[in-house]
Amino acid sequence: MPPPLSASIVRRSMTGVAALSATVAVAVAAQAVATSPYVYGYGPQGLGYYLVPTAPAAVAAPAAVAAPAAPAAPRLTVPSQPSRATSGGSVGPGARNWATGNRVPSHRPWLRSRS
Amino acid sequence: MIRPRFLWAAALMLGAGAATAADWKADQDAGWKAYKEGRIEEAEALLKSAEKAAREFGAADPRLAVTLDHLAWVYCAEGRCDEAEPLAREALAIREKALPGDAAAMADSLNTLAAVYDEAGKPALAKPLYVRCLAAAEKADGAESAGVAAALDNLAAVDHALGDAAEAESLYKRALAVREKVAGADSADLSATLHNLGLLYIDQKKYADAEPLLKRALAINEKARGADHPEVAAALETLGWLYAVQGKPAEAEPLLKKALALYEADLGAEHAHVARAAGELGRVCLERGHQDEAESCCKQAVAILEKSAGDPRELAEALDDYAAVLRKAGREADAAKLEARAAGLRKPAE
Repeated sequence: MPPPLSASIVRRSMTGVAALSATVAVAVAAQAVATSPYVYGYGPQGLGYYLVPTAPAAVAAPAAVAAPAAPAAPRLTVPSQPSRATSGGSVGPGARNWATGNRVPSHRPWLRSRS
Repeated sequence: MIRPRFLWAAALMLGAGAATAADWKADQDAGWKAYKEGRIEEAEALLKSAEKAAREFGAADPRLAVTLDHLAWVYCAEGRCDEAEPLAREALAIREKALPGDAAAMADSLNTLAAVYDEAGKPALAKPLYVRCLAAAEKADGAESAGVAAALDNLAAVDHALGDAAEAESLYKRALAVREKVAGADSADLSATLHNLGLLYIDQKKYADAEPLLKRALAINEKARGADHPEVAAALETLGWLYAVQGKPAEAEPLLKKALALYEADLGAEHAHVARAAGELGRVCLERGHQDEAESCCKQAVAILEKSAGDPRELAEALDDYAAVLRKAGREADAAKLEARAAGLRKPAE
């Protein structure tokens, strides 16, 4: 489903509405082709795991798994590939700490806006 | 194929004309809502439109600071920290001049610029900003608040990265105490702090201190997020790694196997986290004398890392792990080839 459009864009750009809606729908559909239900990266809930919208596992969880008590995992659509830092790159919180030798990176859900 | 970003930009250009406060607010609110809901591309287009409107209000207008601050977060989500930095700096400069007494606004901007540096792998630049952010957050939110706990966690993480273990430990403990009071002892909000403090103790070889924290993080994640969530995989992996570094491969193996299976299901077979868990499991299997399984895991890690554009040191280490497996099987020549390749990969990084 296309997302809601900003009031001012609608007001100032009525002719672009159809194209915008279609564009976002295409972007979401392209991500849904991915087979994995989660991506790892930066988003509104900090650095962490996000559900890819409409991925199969995000729609139907295995019956044996108890329903999570917490709200559903946040979803994320990004226009580019995850940055190197979040996909095995050498810098940033998603990267390995070579100084300590520890292979597991820190968890950083608080790398997010305070707003 | 036409990139969606260009279509968004073209559509926004159609709406050229004098901006009004209402235009700015509509785009600003809709853009931030899109970001919060994970629609990053839409957020970028809307906030850029809001930025254009806000610049017409004047370079010192606090509304411009709001938009620039938010646009910086959008760029970070897209992995464009270099473009986020000037926006975050401009937003902070506006607020320092226009709203120096507004602790909440100052904390917002200090947090944003610190996070931009943090995400770019510049913890030394992030640290003084997080220190100022903590002070502003205490003023704005009160000493025992979720905002203060977040500032403590972020400051602890950069101290950890900078090697100041004592300061990091003290800050993580303060964050944990605040979170327990604010959110409760079983809240999912505690899991990251427990994990990070556990990692700090592993780094310091305080394994007995790390174990209860990592077990608690695992239990919280399983209960709060469900047994198949990738955070559960990460908690299992960390606990498995704790046992592995203590020379307890029999305890590590089932945890790492479960973590590997979850990562594969959640993130896909080619993800860097799959390679990491496979490498760890390969080491543990070798220690246990499970030669075939060790070789299979090491091969898997090497194959994933060869295809990725990640840190070459990761591939070098995976090659060394694979070489150790081959050497134990008496395949000296094959092992030497892998080790030579690993040494070549390390050279440019050193």
